[in-house]
Amino acid sequence: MSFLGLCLTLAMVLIAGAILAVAWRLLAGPSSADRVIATDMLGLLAIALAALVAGLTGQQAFLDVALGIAVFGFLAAIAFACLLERTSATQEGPR
Amino acid sequence: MISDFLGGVLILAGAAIIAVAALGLLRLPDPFTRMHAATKAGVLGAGLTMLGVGIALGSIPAVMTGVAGMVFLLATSPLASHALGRAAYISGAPLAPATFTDALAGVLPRNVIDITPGRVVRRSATAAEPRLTAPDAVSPIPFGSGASPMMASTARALAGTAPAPLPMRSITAWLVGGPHQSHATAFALSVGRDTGAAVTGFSAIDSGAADPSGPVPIGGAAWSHWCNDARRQRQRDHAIAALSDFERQAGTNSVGMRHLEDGFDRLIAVAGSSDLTILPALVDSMGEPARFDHEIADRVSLASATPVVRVRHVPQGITQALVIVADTPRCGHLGVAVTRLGLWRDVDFHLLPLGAADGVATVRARETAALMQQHGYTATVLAAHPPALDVWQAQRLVQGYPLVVMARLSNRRGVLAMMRTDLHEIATDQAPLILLP
Repeated sequence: MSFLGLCLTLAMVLIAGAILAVAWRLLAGPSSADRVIATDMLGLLAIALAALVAGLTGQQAFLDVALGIAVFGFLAAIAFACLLERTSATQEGPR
Repeated sequence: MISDFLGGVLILAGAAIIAVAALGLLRLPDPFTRMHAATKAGVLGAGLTMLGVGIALGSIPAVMTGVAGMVFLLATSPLASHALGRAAYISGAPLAPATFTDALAGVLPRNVIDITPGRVVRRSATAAEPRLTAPDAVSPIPFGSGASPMMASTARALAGTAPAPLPMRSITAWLVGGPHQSHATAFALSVGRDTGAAVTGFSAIDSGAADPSGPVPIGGAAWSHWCNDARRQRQRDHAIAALSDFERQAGTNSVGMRHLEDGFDRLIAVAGSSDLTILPALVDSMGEPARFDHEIADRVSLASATPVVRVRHVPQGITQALVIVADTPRCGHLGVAVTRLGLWRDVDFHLLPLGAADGVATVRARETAALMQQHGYTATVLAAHPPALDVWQAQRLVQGYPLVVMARLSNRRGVLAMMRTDLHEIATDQAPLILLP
């Protein structure tokens, strides 16, 4: 196995472990803010995963997929933040 | 070849940084620190991975895509993390117990506490008007208007009807945690249902009790800070568990909730303006198991003028109640507390004077019994007992009473209180419900 292949495989294993940890945080919470942050982090992990797949397969298109996930991850983070703010505002009312 | 090497190193570095970020997301104590880990280390890791793969692929477009991805991530992550942190603060995500200053307090609106998403906070302001127990219970004066109180009560006594009790309007349930908390919550909600009173759950972080009174702070300030942090964390956990249990038990009933971060003493003052305060047994103000002389029930009952019910568990049905009348001044309020509450109207109250056969306690017991009878209660005075009973006798006296009315959990403090011989203390150990005026 070449050095690059070794690096890619090792990186895949690391990312897989990270996904497990973040998924646990997503399920466990405890607050909804934690879940939103975990979702955001999952988006970042998906970017890394898509980039690694591009490296493993040699298909450059997966890098564009990673770029697309990055754009959507940013929009999703902003939208989730707005949702979190707004739902808590309607629940409790402004002070 | 050099691009393979460079790309591999970048990929490995990026993956390692992402793994550290995920570890931080897993291990850090509150959403804000977790947000730091996710949006700084996470973004750097993902960007490095993209750049490394671009370099490893070798073609110019791949490298440019990788660079563009990294630049885009670095440009957007400050915005995303700012929005997430702000939203987390507003939604009321709990701060880590090591937090000492909240610079945003009063700047941004903040929810009270937010643990499960999608839960609906019911506020007491929007609650339906509590129904009244009796049609003529609107008047704040118990004996009607017009005629003098004595005349009215005599007339009612002659007519054979009990005077209408004062309507109970507000009940405070303290949510401190501990093994008896869910019983106390259930009792508070059932009393609220029976009387139509509005039930408000209170919980507060008792920062006043954060002095290092437990373990000696060996090792200096860091250790004592650590102790305080751990204690506050446990206190928050207790409060959260008790709050969610309160919500679950309340179901669709409308209840109010208040949580204060720093206002234990202020909350005692607020609780003093309700009709009844309900507390769990055997915990202190921080939700830790406590002996009777550090119990929150004792502290609150001494600090506020409202009657306090200390709940160990909810008895099946209350038919008999024991009123322990000693010769301390506070025992003079026992009868007033019972009659003002208006609960337990068909319970047989047995008044037990502690003292000489014709002493202060006996006279006071007779007066209290007379007051309760005038209010339509059944009250009988038992034979007087000396204040120092032996343990078996005391246990026999208290046994079988689901409700005990007395002035304090114990009249003694210090080392001697370890030996439980006083009737108050036996009752504290045994009775499921204790009413402290």
